[in-house]
Amino acid sequence: MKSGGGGGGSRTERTYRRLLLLLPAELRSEFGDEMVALFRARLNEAGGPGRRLWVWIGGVLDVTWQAVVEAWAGHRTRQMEGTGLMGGTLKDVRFGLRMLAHYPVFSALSALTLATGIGAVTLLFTLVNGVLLKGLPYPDAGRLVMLSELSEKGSAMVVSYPNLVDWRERSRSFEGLTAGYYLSRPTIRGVGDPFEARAMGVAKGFFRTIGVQPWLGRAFTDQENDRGGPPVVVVSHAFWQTYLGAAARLDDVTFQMGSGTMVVVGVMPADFQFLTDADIWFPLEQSPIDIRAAGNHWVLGRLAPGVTAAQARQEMNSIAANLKREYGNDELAVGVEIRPLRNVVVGDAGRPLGVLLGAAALVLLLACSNVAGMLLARGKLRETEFGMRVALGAGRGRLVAQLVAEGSVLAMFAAGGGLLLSLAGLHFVKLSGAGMVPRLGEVSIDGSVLLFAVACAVLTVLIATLPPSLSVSHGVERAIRGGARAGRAKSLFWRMLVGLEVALALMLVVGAGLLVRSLSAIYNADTGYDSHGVVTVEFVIPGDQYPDAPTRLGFIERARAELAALPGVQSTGVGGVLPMNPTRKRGPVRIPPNLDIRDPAAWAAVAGWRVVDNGYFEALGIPLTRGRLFGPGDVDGAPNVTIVNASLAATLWPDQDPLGRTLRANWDFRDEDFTVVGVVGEARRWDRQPGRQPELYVPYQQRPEHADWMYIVLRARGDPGALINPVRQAFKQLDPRIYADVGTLDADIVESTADRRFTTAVLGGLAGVSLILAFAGIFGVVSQTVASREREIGVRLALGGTPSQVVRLLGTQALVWVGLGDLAGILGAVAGTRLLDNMLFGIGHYDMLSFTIALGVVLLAALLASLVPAIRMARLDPVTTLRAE
Amino acid sequence: MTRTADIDVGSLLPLHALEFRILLALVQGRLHGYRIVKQIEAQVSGGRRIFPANLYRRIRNLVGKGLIEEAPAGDVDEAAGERRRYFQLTPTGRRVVEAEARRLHELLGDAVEAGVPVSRSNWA
Repeated sequence: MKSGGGGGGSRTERTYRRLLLLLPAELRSEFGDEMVALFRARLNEAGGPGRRLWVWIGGVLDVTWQAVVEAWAGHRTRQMEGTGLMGGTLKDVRFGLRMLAHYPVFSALSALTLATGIGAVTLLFTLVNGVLLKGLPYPDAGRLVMLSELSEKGSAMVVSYPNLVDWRERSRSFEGLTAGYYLSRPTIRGVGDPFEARAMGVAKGFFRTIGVQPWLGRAFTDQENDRGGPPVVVVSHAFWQTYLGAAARLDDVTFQMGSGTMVVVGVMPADFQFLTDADIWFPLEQSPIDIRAAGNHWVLGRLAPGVTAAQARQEMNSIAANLKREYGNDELAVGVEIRPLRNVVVGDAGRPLGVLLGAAALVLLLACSNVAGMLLARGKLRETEFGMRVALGAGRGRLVAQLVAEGSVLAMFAAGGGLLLSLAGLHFVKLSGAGMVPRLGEVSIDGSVLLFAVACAVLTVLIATLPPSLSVSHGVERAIRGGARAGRAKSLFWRMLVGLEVALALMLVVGAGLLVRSLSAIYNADTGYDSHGVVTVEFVIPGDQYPDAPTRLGFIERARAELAALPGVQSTGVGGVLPMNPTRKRGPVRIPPNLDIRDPAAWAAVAGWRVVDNGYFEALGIPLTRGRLFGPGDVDGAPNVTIVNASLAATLWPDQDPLGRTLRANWDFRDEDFTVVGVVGEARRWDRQPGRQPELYVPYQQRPEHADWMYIVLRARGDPGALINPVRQAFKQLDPRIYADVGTLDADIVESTADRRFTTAVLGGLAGVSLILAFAGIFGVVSQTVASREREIGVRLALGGTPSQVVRLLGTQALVWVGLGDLAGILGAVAGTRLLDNMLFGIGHYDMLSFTIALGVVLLAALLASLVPAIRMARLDPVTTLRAE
Repeated sequence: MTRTADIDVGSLLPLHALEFRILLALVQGRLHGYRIVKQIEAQVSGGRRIFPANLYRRIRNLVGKGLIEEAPAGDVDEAAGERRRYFQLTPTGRRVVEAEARRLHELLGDAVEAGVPVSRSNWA
């Protein structure tokens, strides 16, 4: 059996081999190959990615632990045998391991600190690498481009079927040109309970053009994908596993989709997806939409070898110009836009991910400065030890080399820990981030990312050990003389460290604060309707069971009445589209005198077409401002009536009375006049400016042909969440064959902010980590400076200084640098938050509240971190202190 | 490694649990690393997984003590097409594993005599 995943064995091996560098060379050269083979076998038997993750975690822990055990054993052996220590990098590394074991708490803390930074950077780099840098998972993906129609105004539009056919015939630039619909959500029956699947219609040559063939079975042929073709589908690997019982043979595997019985001819590889995750691909050219002005396809092309996108664009533009000449007003496209597929897929994710990677880099910087501070502080404690060594003949270079080696070992541990943290983080992101980040399924930690982590670690070592090494080599003489005191330069370095940490933490906290405020602004945005306390029920009425208008309308009314009778339901309404989907069923509106449907000049406005009942306005809290609501007589056959929202009224008839006027909408397939009988307020999606979501409402009884994909909205008396299950049950009893998607409107709104929530959560996490690191760092540095002044403080206290004076003295000095750090942090945040521009909503990027709160939080943390050691010192008994001198 | 048969077996006891398990796995004949691991994991129900660095550090120790040695792999088939290194017990190793088994057996007898309930079901 072929397998989609499981590849990258050699890369896995390289990664594991690098890990083995932790082990003593003797063991590694003897059994390294065997260990790699065994590890590979372990991975192979693990199967799924989750289990492989556990094998990886086990493997990393195993090697790390054995390395420690080996180093310890080696240490003891040499002690017994009396072997010399010096000479050779390897020995330095072993020595480093032992030194780390001598200070377990220090080592663990600094390794953990570094691991946090490295883990954050590795995780974010993994995401950036997987989402932005890596090629798409299709063969020769660099030649894949997306084509759209260009309107006269220069905006890109989806492509109509007749244009696709003509483009296919006339163009020479492409090896393949194919198309598809955006997802539809048909109800699937015949394989367990009815449910909603994600289906994508695709044109001839889709699988050929993209270069991926089904993993089991076959793709549909061009003959099948043509008018009158048989009902065949290709399904995703997950669908095949979950709903088709992973049938090994596809003979006679069928299910009900919408009103037809579909025959499964192929199963795609496990990791295959295109544009949006789909469960089912069906042939769309069996019943294409033959209207040249009606675009509804995305178009994918594979450039012929040697043809550039620019050449293709040139050819396509001349083809479009010819088509425009030939078809006149029927043809809307005047040109063709061609974009690399990669740009289309990655879309807007680049900016947030880049910002997050930058934030992670700040965390790493913070971790490094923290560890540098710790190493420096400990270097001071060990000055005497080093001094003795130098006095006994060890060269200073040797000493620095040892310190660097110690740092390297630390960094290796940190890299291992960071890798573990990033693996765990990635696991979490994959679990919770689906739908928030494009291409998430393809992302996995791999060799290049590990290399990056190791590079981070080495860089960290350089940054973190250099100052302490220098400080040691300066401090030797003093150390020998005993009782070293902090030099002016060194304490300046420490204070700058405090400032730096405060600045970095502040930048991250401000960023996170801005995003959190944006989210809350979204959830509380003035949308012109009341989303709180509303339950929505989305369903598609199958055409085979409800073939005509009376049965469909009957079902809708029955369902509405049934749900209205549930306890806790205050009011109910029916609608075809929710305010959150401004672009669905949106189309041109014409008013007299120019009513020519084929003339773009006749478009007086572009507005949403909504079939509703009166209850819709009531349940959503949309106010009627003029005229009347629909009456019982407004049914099919009676004079057409419409209610427009304020935004459409202002567009069509500025400063005039809209009541009694007539309009036509392209979405009305009968192309009849509608008389305006009322005006309601504008209900908007949260990101729409007021006045930018024009809509018109038509009673659904008057246009039953539009009443197939519907919503029932319920206003709950109490908690809307409590209604979800009863509603689902009631609907199921009504007709078990129809799948109803039940949820709260607020949850839908939260859902629509998925990408923002992801960015906010990650940046919030990074800000939290940075706060903890800064707190720990400041605490350490202040403790250290305070401790070095123990004697001076003892004298002050002995001479009659009060503890509060001492605290004030020590506190003020620390806080000067905290203040400077705050200043730098605010400047940095002001510069940095510009990057957040298009992620902010409802607030400016200099939002005072976010800045103030962040400043308060960071100040409080810094205050605590610097005052606690100061207070502890002030409580000292001066007699003890002085006697110790 | 030229350890002779007159080595003091007693000085090598007790064996580390994993090293004993490795020796047990090799009693029936030569095996390579992965087979050793599978054999042990099959015997010890619910035991922890054995990872590469741990296994080969133990194997290195056992080779060092002269209890196992690398087996000539000439006549061993390997379907994967990759040559694996095989290990087998040395005569000393066989004596040590027997001595350790005896020691454990006696220990078990003492436990039974002392009234410790010992049944197959609570062996792990």
